[in-house]
Amino acid sequence: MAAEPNDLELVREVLAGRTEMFELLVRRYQRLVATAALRMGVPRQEIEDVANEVFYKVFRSLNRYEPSHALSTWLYRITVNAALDHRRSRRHDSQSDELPESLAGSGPSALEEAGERQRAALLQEALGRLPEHYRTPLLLTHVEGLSLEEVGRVMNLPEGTIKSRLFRARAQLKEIIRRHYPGLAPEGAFGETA
Amino acid sequence: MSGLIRFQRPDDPGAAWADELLRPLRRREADVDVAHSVMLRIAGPAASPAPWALPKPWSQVRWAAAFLGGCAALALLIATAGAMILGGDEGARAAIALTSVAARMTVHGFDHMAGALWVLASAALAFFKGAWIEIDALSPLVRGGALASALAGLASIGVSIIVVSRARRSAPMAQRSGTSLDNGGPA
Repeated sequence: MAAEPNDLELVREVLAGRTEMFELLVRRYQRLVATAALRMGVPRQEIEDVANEVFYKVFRSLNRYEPSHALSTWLYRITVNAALDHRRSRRHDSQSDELPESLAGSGPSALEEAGERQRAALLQEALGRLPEHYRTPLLLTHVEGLSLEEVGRVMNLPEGTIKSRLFRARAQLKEIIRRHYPGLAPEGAFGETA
Repeated sequence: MSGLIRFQRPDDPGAAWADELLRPLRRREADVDVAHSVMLRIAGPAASPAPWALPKPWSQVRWAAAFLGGCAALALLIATAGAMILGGDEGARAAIALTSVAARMTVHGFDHMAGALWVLASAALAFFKGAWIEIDALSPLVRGGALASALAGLASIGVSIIVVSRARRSAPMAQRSGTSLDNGGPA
């Protein structure tokens, strides 16, 4: 059985006119794009639209892809921009999607899950209070697990800038949580030295 | 993730804090299947297949056509302007007059600016010349002053030597036993 073509081979095939090969790329990365969009605050019911838009943009600008960087980094970049555009255009209430509708009659695991979802929704709300240029590096670093170099590439900024934005983002988030969401703070967060 | 951030500012709660806080978000995952819809959209009539760049020969033809078009437009402009000037058009004459006035004003402006710069440069040069003459004239005085100071220093040393030698001569003589003194000093 032939080995699966890698990302670069697929990109070259698509650029050479074999458009159908793009489907393989979509299947390979649709989970990454959807998860990143969800974590960037896109409501679950709108993720499909955002993912669709992201892959369409990828297809349209595939000739601008730089093979020296990972395709996933480029996808993150397009996903972040799409999520920000979505956020700007909708200004939706992030709670409506994620808060549990009813907890009556739920078992312990369901309760835990509901609690987790509620916590995530409140976190999204707290993150929504951060300026975009602080929220994005924070999410990419601490939620997506990207390195500073990768975040810099996604945001098209030098590493030093990302580092200083991360410092400020964390400091601001800490203040937001202390003032508005004290229940979200990790154990002993405000007792210890910063 | 925590290892990424090595430095921490006083008001920064740190990477570990952020990792712990945002853990619920890391657990959230979404899965969609958009492959079919994306492929339909790509294949649709509205989608322009941007991935394929215009072939090179076509790009050259496009460039040449644009260049020729530009040349033709310029030629047309010059021919029209020439016809208007030769035909004694009122607007063309006014435009020429305006252009010549602007050119004259520009030339005069530069002339005045150059004159002002020249005056400034001459004044600065005269000032520096004067300062140099001043320094040159004062230099013998400075040299004389330095010589006088040196002589005064030497005289002061000579006087000190004389004073010290006389004082030694008139000082009381002390014996080893310390009992008797010839010159009447204290016993």
